[in-house]
Amino acid sequence: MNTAIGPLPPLIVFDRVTKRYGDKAVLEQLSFVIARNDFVALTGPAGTGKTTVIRLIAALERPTSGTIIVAGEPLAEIRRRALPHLRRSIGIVPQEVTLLEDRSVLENVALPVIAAGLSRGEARSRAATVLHRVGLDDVDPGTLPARLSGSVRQRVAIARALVNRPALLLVDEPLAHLGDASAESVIKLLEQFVGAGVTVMLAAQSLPTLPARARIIGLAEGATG
Amino acid sequence: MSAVSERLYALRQALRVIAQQPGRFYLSVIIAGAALALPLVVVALTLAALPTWKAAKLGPEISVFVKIGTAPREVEALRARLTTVSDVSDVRLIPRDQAFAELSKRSGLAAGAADSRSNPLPDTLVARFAFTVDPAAIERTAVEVRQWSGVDAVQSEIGWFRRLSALRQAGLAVVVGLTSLVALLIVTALIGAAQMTIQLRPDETRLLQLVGARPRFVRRPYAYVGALTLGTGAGLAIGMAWITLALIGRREGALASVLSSAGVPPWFPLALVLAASLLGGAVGAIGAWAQMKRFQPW
Repeated sequence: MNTAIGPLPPLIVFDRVTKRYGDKAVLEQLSFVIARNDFVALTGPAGTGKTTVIRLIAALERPTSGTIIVAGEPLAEIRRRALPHLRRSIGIVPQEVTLLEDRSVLENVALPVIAAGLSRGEARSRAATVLHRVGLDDVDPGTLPARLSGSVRQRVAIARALVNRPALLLVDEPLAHLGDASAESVIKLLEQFVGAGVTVMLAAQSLPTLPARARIIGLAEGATG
Repeated sequence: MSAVSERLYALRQALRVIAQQPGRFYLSVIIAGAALALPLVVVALTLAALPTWKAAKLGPEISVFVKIGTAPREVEALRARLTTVSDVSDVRLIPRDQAFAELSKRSGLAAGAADSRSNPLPDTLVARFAFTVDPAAIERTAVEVRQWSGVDAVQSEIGWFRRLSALRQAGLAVVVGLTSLVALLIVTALIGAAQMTIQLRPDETRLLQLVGARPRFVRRPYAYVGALTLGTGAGLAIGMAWITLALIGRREGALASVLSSAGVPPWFPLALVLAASLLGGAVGAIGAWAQMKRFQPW
């Protein structure tokens, strides 16, 4: 038997993707390819479909037309039952950072691990590790989110997105409510994860200084990529 | 291990939901308990009253008049045959001489004034039926017995019993109807409660869907809330039945003895709690499922 190991396929392929809401086309024939271990910044004015792109990749929405392939699998062919499995392989940080206010930082971060069916001990161990990786050593893991600053909440959300060790991290407007220094530290943090083998896609209306390796995909109204 | 941790997480979440809305939980338990107590108390009271009814010999009767001149041995054979008829609980013989003597006494005739040789009364067999028998079955038996050799006539005065049976049927229909209605209300209330709880905690549901939790993982805490509600309600219903029996003078442990006297196994209360818990769990899960369909993660 001949087994040839070729180059890995791209992590994300958008092929002439159109997304309409009623008569309004948010994305029009958008095409791009993202390789593994890329750092991609998706930028454009409000309403140009940055969040829509992220939602489409996470299979939270279906495109009106076109093909989206994630990790070699066309999303259109993934069964509804398999969606939770897909979402576990993608870390998502939504624009509105949602932390469960009645649960501690550690419990918030451990939640995806428990939801993935791993033990509570494993979940707490992974949560502690990832909190360390996002630089929250000095935050008491038993603290409730209400007592955290905006940038720390952002880091907790990133930790939660990373705790299941995803290959892809989708971050929507992480810098919107942060000052310059905090925004820069978040970018540095994301860059560290790219170095550790995670592909990062960052959606932002305005971009701070990005690492040299970052690719920028600009979206205009009815974007074509 | 993961299955255990998922269930422990769901149980903690269920207890958290209950702790956040204790009033709603207690109200649901009381309503469920009252609904389950209604049939349970009726059944327990009925079972408790059965020995008294049996002792009071309150069953409906038919009188079988034997042809005059029938030999005592044949009368006895008729009696034995009557005893074997379905639903007949006992048969007693009123000999014609005894009946004549009583008649003479009631009518004021002096003893011996009436000649027993001119006694026009027949031997009579009185067959009593079980209290639970269908009045139509008594009528059928009366018609059948009338055809037997040696039988002159059969009298079935069961009008009172027919009315009582109709009343009993109506009472049963009311109890079943009320129980079904309240059960339907409980199911609706539990589904509504699960839906409302999810609506009040949208962040958690969206977040769980976003991080790839399977739908049953999201639903499970609400199933547990339903199970805890109906299970506790069933326990409350058993308590109500116990108290009711105690109030009518049955001694401690009366419920168990009443149930066992009717052939109900001793594990019935536990089975009732378990069955109610399972039903509550299923209803809670259905409510959560219906609400989650309306949810879009993030």
